[in-house]
Amino acid sequence: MSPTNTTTNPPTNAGNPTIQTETTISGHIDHNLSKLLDMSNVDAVFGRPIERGTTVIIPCSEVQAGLGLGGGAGSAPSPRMDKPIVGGEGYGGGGGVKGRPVAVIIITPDQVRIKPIIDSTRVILAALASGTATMIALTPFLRLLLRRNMGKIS
Amino acid sequence: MTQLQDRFSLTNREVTGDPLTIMGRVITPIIRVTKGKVMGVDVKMRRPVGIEVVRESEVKKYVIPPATRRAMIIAAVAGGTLVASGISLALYFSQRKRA
Repeated sequence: MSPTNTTTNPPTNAGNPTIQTETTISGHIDHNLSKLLDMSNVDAVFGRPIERGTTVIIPCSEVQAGLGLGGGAGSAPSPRMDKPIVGGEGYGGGGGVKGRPVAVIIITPDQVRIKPIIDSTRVILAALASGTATMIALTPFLRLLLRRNMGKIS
Repeated sequence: MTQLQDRFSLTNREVTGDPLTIMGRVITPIIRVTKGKVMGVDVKMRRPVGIEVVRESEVKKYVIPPATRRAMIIAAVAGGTLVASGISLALYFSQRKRA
């Protein structure tokens, strides 16, 4: 069950070479990202139904994909006049796809149920991060209070 | 502002998948597609948001709740409150001890 989505070819732009390069890179990113997602998306968001007796289970997952490309070029005048202008260019990129189960749809002859899946690792990490942030935020007040108390005692 | 718009952009749309017939029900999945650009990195997310079940001309919509996100918010609030109350209690008892 893949969503109704069409993949477009990267646009080409004849004219200004800089605009053309940028448009081509942007078009390629879009094109590659769509391909990357489509590759990972086949039966990924809503998986293939699994039949067990009178129950059908459909796993649901969320899919995230990211892709970044960048590049640059530069030139510098040569210290010697007889030598040509030196320069260079470089391009690089990276990307990734991440998938995570979100819920399970359970279909029985009587009813349809949705059972959400909770990612406990993320929940624990959120609690720990919040606790640490609170501790860091309260430390100055704590120090101030302790110092004041010390002053009162002495 | 234009530079900021160039760096950050986010678009959301909902698409429907191919309907599936299971046990006399026609199930249409609904997916949210988020496409964005963050600091030059193109990001695309697909999340199932629900299903539409049609059975004998009766249409029912089932929502897939963002359970992990809700649990994360609750855990974050609880974690922060727990640490804050722990510090307050420690301070209170240390003062009582000194007094």
